[in-house]
Amino acid sequence: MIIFYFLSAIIILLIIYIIAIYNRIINLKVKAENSWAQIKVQLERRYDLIPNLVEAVKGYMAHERETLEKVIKARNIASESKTINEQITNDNILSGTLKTLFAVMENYPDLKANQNVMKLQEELTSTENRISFARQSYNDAVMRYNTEINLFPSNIIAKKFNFQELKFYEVDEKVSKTPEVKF
Amino acid sequence: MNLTNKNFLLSDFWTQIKNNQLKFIFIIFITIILYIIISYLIFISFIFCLFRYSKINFVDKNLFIISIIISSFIIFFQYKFYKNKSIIFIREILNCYKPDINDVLHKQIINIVEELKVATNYNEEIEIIIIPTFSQNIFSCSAGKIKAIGISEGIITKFTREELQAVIAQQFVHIINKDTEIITFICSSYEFIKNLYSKVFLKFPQEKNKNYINKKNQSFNFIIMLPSLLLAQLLLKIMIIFISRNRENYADVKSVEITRNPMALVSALYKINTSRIDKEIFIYSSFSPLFIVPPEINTINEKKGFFADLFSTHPPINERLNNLLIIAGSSLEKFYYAKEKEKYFREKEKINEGKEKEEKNLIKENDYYVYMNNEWFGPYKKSQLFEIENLTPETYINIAGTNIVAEFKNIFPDIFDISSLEQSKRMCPRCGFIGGRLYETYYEFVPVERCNKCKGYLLTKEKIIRIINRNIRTFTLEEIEYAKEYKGKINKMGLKKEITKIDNSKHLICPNCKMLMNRAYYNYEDYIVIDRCTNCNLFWFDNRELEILQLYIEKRIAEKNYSR
Repeated sequence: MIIFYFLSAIIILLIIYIIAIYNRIINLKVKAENSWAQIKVQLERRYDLIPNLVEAVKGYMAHERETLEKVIKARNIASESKTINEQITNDNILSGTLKTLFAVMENYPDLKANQNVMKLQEELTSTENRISFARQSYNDAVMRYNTEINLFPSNIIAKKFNFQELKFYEVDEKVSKTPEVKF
Repeated sequence: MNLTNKNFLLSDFWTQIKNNQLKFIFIIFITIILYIIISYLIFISFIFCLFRYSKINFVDKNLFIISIIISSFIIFFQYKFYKNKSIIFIREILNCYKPDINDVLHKQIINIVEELKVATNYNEEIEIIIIPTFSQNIFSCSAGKIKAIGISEGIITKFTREELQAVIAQQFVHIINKDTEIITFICSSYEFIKNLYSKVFLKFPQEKNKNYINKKNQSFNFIIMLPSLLLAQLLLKIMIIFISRNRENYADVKSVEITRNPMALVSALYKINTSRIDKEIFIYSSFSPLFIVPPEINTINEKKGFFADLFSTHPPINERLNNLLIIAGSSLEKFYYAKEKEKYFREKEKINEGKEKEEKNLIKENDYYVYMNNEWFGPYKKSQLFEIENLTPETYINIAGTNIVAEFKNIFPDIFDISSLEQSKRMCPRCGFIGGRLYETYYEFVPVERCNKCKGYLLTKEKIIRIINRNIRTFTLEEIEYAKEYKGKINKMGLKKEITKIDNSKHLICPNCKMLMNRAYYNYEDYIVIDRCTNCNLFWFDNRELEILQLYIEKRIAEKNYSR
């Protein structure tokens, strides 16, 4: 009889332990998904802003049509992507084209004086910053989630309930170079 | 230090917040005890004066109870004052205003705050208030549900985007870990006691009509206010002991963890530290613990040791810079060496520029370059410009030897009539009767109204202050010469400078309320004539007057900085 009580107590404790771990994993996953939603909001903002900027700039940059078309094309592709992995790669391409656009815009003195363009550019840089900040917190959340499901007892439960690793939002190697300290 | 580990950051924030909440209760407790002691002492001395040496007991139970009751009342009112009025009070004293969304530079600040909200997952509303001064400083204050970050115009115009982000992130850390609440409480206690004294004992309308109090009254007020001022000052000094100077170091490092850009904060702190020599800007010293770097140069803040730790509000600036530079993988010596080098080269450049300018003054007529089909053509003389085919009012033109690039119509505004102004219904007060209309344009990124015929500006007081505090625009030689001429004209008039001699025209009518506008000097240093509607708070500047004012004030400040 004592053995029976003892065993049942162990089983109950085990079940409680499993539930606790399961909840922790779910909690971390929801946090990661939530910060992905944050990124989504900012990306959406960027998709809305780009056509406005291109429209404002068009008149000044008539013979830079190629760059402008590239930006619009990349934007359309990125806005239609469905999975997280697709989104990440497409948005990296879009960031690259935007950077070339900003670089080209530097050569046009007319654009620097235009208040409307300046406002749009400020909005876009702000959005870029927000995306990078949101990416920071998404990557942190993903890191916590991934380590949790790979550590020992919780990895067994993760396998049982089919939790899968999430992908980090990584930037192109060119962009992610650590900045040198220069005075 | 591990900068990428956010786990550490989050957990540490929580312990900080808990510590600060406990500290807040502790500080309120301390203030109660202080009040009890002070009121008890006042009672005792009062009785001592009344009854001289006759039978007083220095330890009186009843007196003690009365002073406890009184001080708990006072602390209740003080807490209420802090919670409801402190931020409004700070805003009033510093003459702050809200950011203007149409202003690109203000919009930038709003955007940066939103970015940092994303970065820190902080969802509560943060108010932005702008201090109209040249001085470069930033503060944060919070009471109850209101949280505010105050930024001076000097910072907004002189700092790069990264530096702004770093500095605002630093204030964010203070707001999140509730440092600001404690400090706002302490700072507001100073103002509270000053006010309490004047309201309860004197019933003087102190703050309301500040401008109209005559001098006699003011000195009288000052004498009566003296004991309360001393008391408030004493209390502030005691409470400052409980402010840890290390909170700034903590916030510096935490903000770098958010922005991941230590060098931006280093250069921002350096800029603030070196720019605060300006005597013109006097910010209330009782608020100095709220600022990122104390606005007045206080020697105790730069010292180390036991007493410095007790009575200082900020750590030494070099210590802060050093902490950040270590994170960036550099050192203080290297940083200062680089700064000195930069200074040397800048001065060398200045000397060269001066020589060039002298040469330029010899050529009276400017040369112009024209920007067409992605190339610069020229140089042309002014008369030659009109012979060029395909030249439109929108074509870009560069004045030779300067950085000025602007549209053709802006370089020669007298040639063109801007025709898109029929939409504007407001008449120009100066030349409305011959069809002058006001249209919206930008001056130093500030949205202003300008007349299309006489080129005068219509502004609010707030916008003038904003324009004066910015110096992004460069002045043309023509403008500088006109300003010199104007000064010469004023100086010729001798001691009595009558307005009618400068501007003899009829009084203008306000385009807003159709009342007569007053004519006066903007200030008694530059003698620029303005027309002002006191009803709508509108100011009318004739063509070039605003430019001259800006030029004079900038020149004055440059001279002041140079002389020190």
